[in-house]
Amino acid sequence: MSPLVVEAPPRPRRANGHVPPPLPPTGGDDDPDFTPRRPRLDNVRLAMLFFLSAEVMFFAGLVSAFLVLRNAAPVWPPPFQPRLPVAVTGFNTAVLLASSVAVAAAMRARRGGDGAALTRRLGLAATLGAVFLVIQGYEWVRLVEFGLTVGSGAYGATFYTLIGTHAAHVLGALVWLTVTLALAARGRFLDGRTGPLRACAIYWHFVVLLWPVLYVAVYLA
Amino acid sequence: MTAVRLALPLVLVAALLPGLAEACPTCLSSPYGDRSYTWAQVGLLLMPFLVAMVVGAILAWSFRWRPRLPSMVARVWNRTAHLKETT
Repeated sequence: MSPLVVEAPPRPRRANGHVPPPLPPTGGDDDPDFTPRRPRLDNVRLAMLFFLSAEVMFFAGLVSAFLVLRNAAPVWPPPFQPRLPVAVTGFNTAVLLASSVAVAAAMRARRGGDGAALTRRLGLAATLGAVFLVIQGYEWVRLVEFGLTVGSGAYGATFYTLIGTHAAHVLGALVWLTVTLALAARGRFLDGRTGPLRACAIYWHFVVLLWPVLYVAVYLA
Repeated sequence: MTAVRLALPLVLVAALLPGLAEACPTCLSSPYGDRSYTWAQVGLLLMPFLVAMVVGAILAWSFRWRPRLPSMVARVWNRTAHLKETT
């Protein structure tokens, strides 16, 4: 008598992307008004919540280090060091805030099902973000020409570390926004699967809202 | 297992013993001789608690928890809602 071989039933392969959960099995008492319950807090928001919590702690550490070094200095900015361009950076702050408004308008267009407006407004936000980076790069070139470098003591080191870290975040967010824009231009996000778009918008708003805090702490205070 | 049971209270006592807190080298070398905490340090110490509170508040709000309004505010709120319904 041959041994009985029991094979495990084949497991369905997990597909990439969003897979909606199966509907509950229907019995004989179907409710015509039944709709599947939405999760209280969807995965995108939960993931971004914890990711941004880590980001907040990261920037809190940098700002705290900056303020400790600044408070320890007898004179700030140190003598014979260039002053930071407050007016140009103020204009740049307005540019970045406008990009956040454009992203919010793009999300409104998505809710209204207007794909063209969604693409247009995301493009506007990406352009404004790029303008912000270009102006900041121009500022940095000027400051280096005036002699403010990373090796110029705590003043230069903290400035380039703090502002450079934020600029790197804006650059990363801009790449993300550009990819999202390309997907939107191909007609994505209008079928209700908006997870990547919402995550990108949340991150962009975070990066934008962080900048006024840094502007006040580094340039104005 | 017995060693762990014995060691655990000792570790806890050692962790809870008060120690001498020294300021960081930056504060020690400050020209003003300021060796106390500054607002930057206190802010950084409090930041994890603030972040945890915000995360908790967002989770609580998502799970439909709402703070109970004071009775006077609730009365005004309900009256306003009633007016909205009838107009």
